[in-house]
Amino acid sequence: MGVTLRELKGRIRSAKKTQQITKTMQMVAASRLKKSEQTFRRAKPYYEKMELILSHLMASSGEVTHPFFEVRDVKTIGLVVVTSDRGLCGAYNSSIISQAESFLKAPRSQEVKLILIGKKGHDYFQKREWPILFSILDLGGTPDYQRISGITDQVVEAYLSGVLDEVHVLHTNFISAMSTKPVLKKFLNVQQEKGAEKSDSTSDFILEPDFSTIIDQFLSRQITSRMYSALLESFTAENSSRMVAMKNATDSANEMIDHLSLMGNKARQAAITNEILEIVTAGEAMKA
Amino acid sequence: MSEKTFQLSVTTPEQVFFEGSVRSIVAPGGLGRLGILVNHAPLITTLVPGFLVITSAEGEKRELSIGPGFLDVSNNHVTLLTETVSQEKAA
Repeated sequence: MGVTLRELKGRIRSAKKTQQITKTMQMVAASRLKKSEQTFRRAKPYYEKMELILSHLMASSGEVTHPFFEVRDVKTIGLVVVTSDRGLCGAYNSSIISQAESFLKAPRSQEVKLILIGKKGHDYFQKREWPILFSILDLGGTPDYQRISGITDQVVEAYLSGVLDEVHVLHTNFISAMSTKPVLKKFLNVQQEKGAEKSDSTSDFILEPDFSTIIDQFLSRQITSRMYSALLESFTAENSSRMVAMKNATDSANEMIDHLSLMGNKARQAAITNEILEIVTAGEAMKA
Repeated sequence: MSEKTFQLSVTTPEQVFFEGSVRSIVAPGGLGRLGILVNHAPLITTLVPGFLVITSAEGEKRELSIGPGFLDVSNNHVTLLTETVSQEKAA
């Protein structure tokens, strides 16, 4: 037995302390998950209704010309990468980053500029070769519509001024508490769905004031709503990843404590056996 | 009674603020205030910040102040999207 009983006891104690921390973090993540999932679900109707109105709008007009629909000769692509600000959330950030890298490394003639939301992504890409347009580091996992609206405006401005010709968003899909997946979505230009809703009997809408005014105001809101929804989903996924990661850590701490206690018991028994052996031998020697 | 009402939903990015059948609404449209009753023609309009008056199926009036947004009417379903709704007060 290479390790002494004292050493083992120390190790058990430190494993227990770590377990206590991970357990607390697990519970914090679980309650945050519940909250952010609720926010995400509550925000969904707005997003869905936006899509509905858009389909009504599209159904009641012919060809639409708006900068958001414009198909450009693409020179620069903007890639928005959504990561977390803090670590200890399992594979959440690394799977997003590896997705982003494979997007960046894919052979293409266009230049890709990064827009980074979240500290972890910023820390990673700062040291890499790809150009960063701007980073948002202080969102802190609290989705606020006004704030996200501001970020979206920045992105849209870059698109309208021609700095970016296309905008893609890479964020994490929340499927269930146990399963999340990175997804890549194209935000700009907006793809036109042609006449998908023609079955609607009421396709002749009265438009007030007129189509171009509505679509103008509508599309920028719609982009914001898509971004908001994407970010809420990412935050939910982040919390669920953290919860799962912390649960795994707690479980392995448990296993380690079990293993160490077993070793500790063995060491204690060995010591007792040894002592008895010594006493018995000494007694035998005295008799002789 | 039920023939004179239509479905209204008032939705913000954060939540569904109101959902239910109502008798009429008066909303601050981009071209001026507009009233909507049952069987209104399909319409999409912009909204400017102002007051939204909802008359419920029971004839009760409620007033909400809303931010800029959109209103969509189709098939007696009225969808009102706005970024902000403040707590209602008695009209």
